Amino acid sequence: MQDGSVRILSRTILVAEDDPLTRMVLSDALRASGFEVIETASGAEALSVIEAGRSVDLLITDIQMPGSLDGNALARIVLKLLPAIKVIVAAGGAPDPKIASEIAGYYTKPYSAEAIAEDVLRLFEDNADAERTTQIA
Amino acid sequence: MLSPQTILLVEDEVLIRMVIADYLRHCGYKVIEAVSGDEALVLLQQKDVEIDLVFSDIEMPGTVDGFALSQWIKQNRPDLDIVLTGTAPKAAEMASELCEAGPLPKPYEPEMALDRIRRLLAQRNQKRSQSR
Repeated sequence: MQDGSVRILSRTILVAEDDPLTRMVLSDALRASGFEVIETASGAEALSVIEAGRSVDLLITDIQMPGSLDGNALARIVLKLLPAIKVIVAAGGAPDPKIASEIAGYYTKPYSAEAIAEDVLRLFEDNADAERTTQIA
Repeated sequence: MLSPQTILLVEDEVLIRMVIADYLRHCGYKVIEAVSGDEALVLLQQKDVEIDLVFSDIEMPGTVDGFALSQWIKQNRPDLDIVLTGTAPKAAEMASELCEAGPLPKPYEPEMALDRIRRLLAQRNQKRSQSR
């Protein structure tokens, strides 16, 4: 845990994926690349993290998840209301045409977690500003 | 006895899980997160997933609560230790002990982190007892 005065160089990725193994493999690969990862298993969980004020740079979401908020709905909410958070969809099945043009990436299962991690690294390198101050959630 | 390296954290509330996972990771543990007893069982039955200790809530949605998980572990993975964290003080105390024994020095401002865990869990326990 860090307080507000400590500057760190890592980005925070919010993962929404209900299958525990898939979530674990993806989160591991992202952490190995230096990212902080918050793991959630549903749209509602992911939203509650954001609503709690946690600073998130990227959302990587599955589509089919339990509960009333699936990945497409979650992605639409984040794209519309929280444009500072980039969105990647990593799911089985085709992307929702409504959001396909706005998301930063789309991966179909089975995917390579390492490949996603590499792409995410490149995605953030393109945003030259790699420094930010963390907030206490 | 070597201190555990990988902890399976089983907790259904994401904000609590996140704070505890963060705390344990800053102590140097690898933390695998599960949102329910059912998920924990999926992970525990994978041969290539190494887990050294299970840190689990008691009341969780789904068919497997903390006690059922504990029973399963006694029968199928007797080598594995499980810590059941039903109350706030217990969870904070166990997390703190794990960090004392952990591979790295305690995280920055460990008391703040523990306070936060205690408060979140106390709030949650209060809500649960009110809804009964």
